[in-house]
Order: sequence, then C-alpha cells, then structure tokens
Amino acid sequence: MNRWIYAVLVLLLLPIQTTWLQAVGLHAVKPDLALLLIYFTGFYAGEMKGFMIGWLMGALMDLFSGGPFGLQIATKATVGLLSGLLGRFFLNATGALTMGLVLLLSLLSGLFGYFFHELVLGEIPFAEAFRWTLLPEALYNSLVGGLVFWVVVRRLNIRRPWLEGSPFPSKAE
Amino acid sequence: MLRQIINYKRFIILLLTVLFVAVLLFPELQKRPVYFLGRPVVFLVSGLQKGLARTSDGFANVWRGYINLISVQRENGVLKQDLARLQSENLRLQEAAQADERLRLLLDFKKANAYSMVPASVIGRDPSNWYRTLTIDKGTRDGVAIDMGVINPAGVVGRVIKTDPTLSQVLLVTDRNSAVAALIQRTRDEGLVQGTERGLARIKYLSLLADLKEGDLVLTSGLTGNFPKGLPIGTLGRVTKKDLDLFQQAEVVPSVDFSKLEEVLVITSIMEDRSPPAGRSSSPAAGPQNKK
Repeated sequence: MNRWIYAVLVLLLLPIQTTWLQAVGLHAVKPDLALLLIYFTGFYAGEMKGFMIGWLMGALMDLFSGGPFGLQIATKATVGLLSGLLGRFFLNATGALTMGLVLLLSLLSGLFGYFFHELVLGEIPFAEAFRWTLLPEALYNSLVGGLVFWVVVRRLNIRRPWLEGSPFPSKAE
Repeated sequence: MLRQIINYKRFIILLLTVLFVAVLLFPELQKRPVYFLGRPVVFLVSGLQKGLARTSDGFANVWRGYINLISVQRENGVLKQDLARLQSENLRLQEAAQADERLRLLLDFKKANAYSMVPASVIGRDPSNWYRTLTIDKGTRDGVAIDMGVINPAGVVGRVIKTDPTLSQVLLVTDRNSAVAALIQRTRDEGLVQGTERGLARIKYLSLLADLKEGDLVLTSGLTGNFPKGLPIGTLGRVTKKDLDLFQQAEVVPSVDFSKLEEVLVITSIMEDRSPPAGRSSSPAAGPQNKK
C-alpha cells in the first residue's frame, strides 16, 4: 500500500476510534480499529510494516489514552510483528482464519495489558477483567476483522506478493 | 360505350347543377329534402366527430398530462431538495436548541455555585478499553491543571490527569484507577469511591456498623482537594457485608450518564468567592452539607 494511504489511515483511525466508535460500544467495550489495521498491515504487507504501523498507532494511542506512555507502543508493535510472522504460515487467507487470528492476537494483547496493569496497579481480579474487557474486546475485534476481510480485502482482492521468495516455509511449499 | 358513359356523366352533372340552382332559387327546398338527405350524413359525420373529439380530448389529456408530468417531476425534484434542506435545517436547529438548553443548565449550575469553574466540551474518549477517560477542549491556556475536579450539573465526572495547552484528559470516576473521597448522605459514613471493570463504581472502606440501604445518595466528602464537599457521585446499589471483612462495600450507580456526556465544568478553584449567590438552592450539593 502507498505510504500516503498508511499515513491517512493512521491519522484518521484515532479520531474515529475516540469519537464515532463510542456509539457502537457494547457494555462500554468498543472494537479496536487500530489493532485491525495493524493486523491487516502485518498479514498482507509483512512483519516489518506491521511492526512500524503498530509502533506509530501505539504511540498515537498512548498520547490520547489514560495509561502510561509506552504500553500501547509495546502491545501494538508486537501485534504487528506477530501478524506478519503468522502471515507467512498461512498462504490462503479466509474469513474464518482472519477471525481466528484476530481473536488470538486480541486476546494476547489483552493479556499483555492485563499483566502490565496487574504488575503496576495490582488488585485487578483476572476473572472480572477477562469477562468484562478481554473477551468481549477480542470477540468484537474478531467479528469486525471478519467483516473487514469480506468487505475490503476480498473486494479489493488484496494479495501478498512479498511472500514470493520468502525464506520461511509456507503451507503451499 | 365510352361515349355513353360520357353522355351519362354529362347528364348527371347537368342534373346536379339544376338541382343546385333550384335549391338556391327556392329556399323551401333547403329545409325538407336536403334535411332528409343530409340527415344520415350528418349522423355519420357527427358520430365520427364525437369519436374523434373523444380521442382528441384523450390525446389532449395525455399530452397535457405528459407536459404536466415533466413540470411536476421538475417541481417534485425542487420540493424534495427543499424538504431535505429543511429537514437538515430542522435537525440543526433542534441540535442547537438542545445544546442551548444544556449550556443554559451548565451556566445556571455555574452561577449557583461559589467555586470558579471553566466550561469545556467533550471531544473524545479513550482509544483503548482499559481506561475510561475523556478528552476535553480546554487545557493549561484556559487555567486547567492536573488533578482538578471535573463535574456537570448531574454530579461528579472525574479529575484531570493530563494537560496540554489546548486539551486535557479526564479520568472518569468509573475508571478503576480513580478514587474519590465520599460520604453517604443519610448516614454520614465516609468511604472511597473507585471505578470497576464493568464501568460502574463501588464505595469501599465503609464501617461495618454503617446502616446502608440501596438508593442512598453518595456525595463527595471534600477530603480530597479536587472536589468541594456535597457534590453528588451516585446512589448506592447492592451492599456487600461479609462477616470476616473489616469494612463493608457497596456498588455505586453514577449519577452522571457518561455515555451522553457532551459538556463539563472543570473546577479551577474551590477556595474562590465563598459568599454564596442568591438562588443557590438549585445545586444538589447545597442540601446535605447544610443539614450537618
């Protein structure tokens, strides 16, 4: 994707995340559009781009979030890197695969967030955090991720030319 | 044969001419025989005329309808545009009226309270699901500083945790990192209101002897510097009292609807201007503390 498109997406996504998405929140949990952008970038453009977009998105989110600066950078950059690496092992992306991977990465990033908060703040019951934040967020992200896959990726027929000549073994090989 | 036909034709022409002249010369003849001769012709022609007239009327109607349809279509388009414009204008005016009403309430509330406040608009929420914060459009340039209390006419909203020259971030009372010193209006028992994972709040460290009931009003106690005493935080929900615990705690249903929050007031100083203006009774904060 063109770097200008990335720039526009990165700059546009945060205002949308902090304003419009409140309207679609379920029990005060809203989908994480930043995580989805990072996942799709990592999966379709490679781990380096995923990492970089994750870092940028994380930094922007940290600026507008109530948490300590750096938490979102670490989480989102890791998601970008992981989605790129996962992308190398799945040659044929499907809606179900997208939903599954987004669910997994959302849960991982949520757990990372939980353990960070537990370490710094303490006193957060895991069951409560899992039930009211981690799981609903992961499920919501997974659903929206599937929707994005069917509406955007399938329609635009986005491919992964960078996989050709990959040093990593892919499923087809 | 041809000659006979020609002669016959000549005879007919001659006869017709004589008849014509006779009719012209004798007007009486115009009335009866011509009438009887012309009657079937007139009947036939008039029938055709009527038929044609009907068709003509229908054709004219179709034509006029078509012409009208074009103009009606044009008019319909214009009217639709007008309707859309008026609907949008109506919506804008309704929105303006609602904003006006909200701002009027905010202004009344500000006037009714002695402490100095800065009004601000909510321009965003926390991008993550881990924190419950708001971004407001007032910052250090407007006198907003970290730890200042944020309220609205319904009650306590939160406190400022980050500032920028033009923006500030407010941690809501429903965030688990938030803690506000509070008291129960009816029993005067003091505790600490903290946010929960579910986006609600709970009051902790209440004495085991406290007689708490669902629906009791929870107010700020004024022990922390951010909020003056007596501002509503919410009402008590389920009370949890365990035998082995040192304290009891209860759920607090916030009095502010955080999902619909659009304008807030930042308390910049609670020490300024202590003389209460007339009409202070509109503040829900006034009642309980005066009774004490």
